[in-house]
Amino acid sequence: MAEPSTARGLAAADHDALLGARCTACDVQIFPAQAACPRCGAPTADCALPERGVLWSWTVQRFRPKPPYEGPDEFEPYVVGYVDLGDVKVEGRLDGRPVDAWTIGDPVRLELGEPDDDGTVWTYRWIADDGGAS
Amino acid sequence: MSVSIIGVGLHPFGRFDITGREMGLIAAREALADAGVEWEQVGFAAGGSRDSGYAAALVSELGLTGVPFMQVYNGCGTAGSAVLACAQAIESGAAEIALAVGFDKHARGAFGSNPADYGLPMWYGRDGMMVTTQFFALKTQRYLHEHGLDERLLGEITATELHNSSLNPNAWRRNALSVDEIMDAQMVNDPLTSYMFCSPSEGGAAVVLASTEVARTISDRAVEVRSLEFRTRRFGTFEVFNPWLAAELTDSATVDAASAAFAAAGCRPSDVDVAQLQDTEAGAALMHLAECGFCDHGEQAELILDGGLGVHGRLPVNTDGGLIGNGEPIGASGLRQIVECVTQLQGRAGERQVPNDPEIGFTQVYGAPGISVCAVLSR
Repeated sequence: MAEPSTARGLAAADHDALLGARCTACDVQIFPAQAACPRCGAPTADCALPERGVLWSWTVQRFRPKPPYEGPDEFEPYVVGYVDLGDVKVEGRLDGRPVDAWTIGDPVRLELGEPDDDGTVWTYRWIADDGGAS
Repeated sequence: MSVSIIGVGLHPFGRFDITGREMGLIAAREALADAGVEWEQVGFAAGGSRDSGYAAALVSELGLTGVPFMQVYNGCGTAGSAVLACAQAIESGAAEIALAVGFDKHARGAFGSNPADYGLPMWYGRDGMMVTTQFFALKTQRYLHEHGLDERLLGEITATELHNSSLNPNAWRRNALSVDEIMDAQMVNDPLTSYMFCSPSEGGAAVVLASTEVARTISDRAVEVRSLEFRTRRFGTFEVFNPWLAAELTDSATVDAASAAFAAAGCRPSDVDVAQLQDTEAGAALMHLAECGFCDHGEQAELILDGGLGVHGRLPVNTDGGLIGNGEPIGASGLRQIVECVTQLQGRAGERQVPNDPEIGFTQVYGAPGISVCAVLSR
């Protein structure tokens, strides 16, 4: 299940951030980046998204999803949430705490996954942000 | 609208040894018999399934009459879209009598979905976010938080629906459960436990429609389709399979379809005597009560507690057990709602009959990726 060769991955160039886009006409911010604005159809411009935000909603995935999920053979429940970044809310896996220890409003920070052989990043996690430097 | 329902048919929902297509055929024949019309009289048909083949292929057993048969697939809105196609064919004058049919037979467990089918990148599925149950939980969790609602309301809704399905011989889940049993069951996606979800299942449902003028000559118990409205999502709604959400959220397609349906019917939510709402899980039912206009957001407890949604309650909802009690064969589910509403308005619902001769019914389906079909029906 290789990504198309034109795919750019999830990380913004030269940033330790996610690659989003902002509409050049109506200013809506989206993730992942795409060429046309889903609100008005105008072209978008790439932008790096904020690396910190607050948890907007969360749940625990307690059963193994069907393919294309590619998790470890021994399934471990994991947490999924939306993180409010101000101009956009981004969904993602949460990490750094027991699965049922999350509360809406918790501060989180971004951690990009390891790049693949081509140097492209395809995963990220929102980590509980306890105020330390990152 | 000047369209009425003159016949309904249903193959029970659950798990069976026959194909989905056979269930559709049984439902279609039952609806025709209930209407007292022959297949040859049907001037337009529409239907669909997700996993059980082409609805239009039913003609090889119903009869090769040359009838225009439109195939529909629209997620959980498949059946609602089929009914809409039939009603519009009748309204336009293209047909006097039409058949809408839906059926399905799904594998066990939550649906698997391919990101590419939704225009999404593969990483979204590979990393474990392409899961419908997750979306329902995330939306419910946020809704409870924003409106300060008690999770126990989810258990109350589920208990009411399972009580109703225990009284319904066509339902899948025939065992009533207490609120505690539902709350203490295995957690699937917090805050939703296993009993709070509907499961993919099997079944078939069909209705025969006619122009109201023709209906009067055929049936003395026809139910009028007062309105039928179909909407898709606008920018800023919170839907399934979304890697991101807009900064400012907008009302869902259900709000748009329901308010349009009430406006077109010339009545209000408070006029409704019996309602069938999309309860893919208990959180959806909770939100849809407000989205359809039956209460304000956050005011659901007044409607739900003390058996308020029960058959004898203030607003009888999902009187046949809903999706939670019947499971969801996608092609048939929205038609099951209409069959149940018609059955209630005709006073034929047996042990689960809403008392005092209900006059106005309401149905609402909601599905991926943000569509809703709402109808107002009346005797």
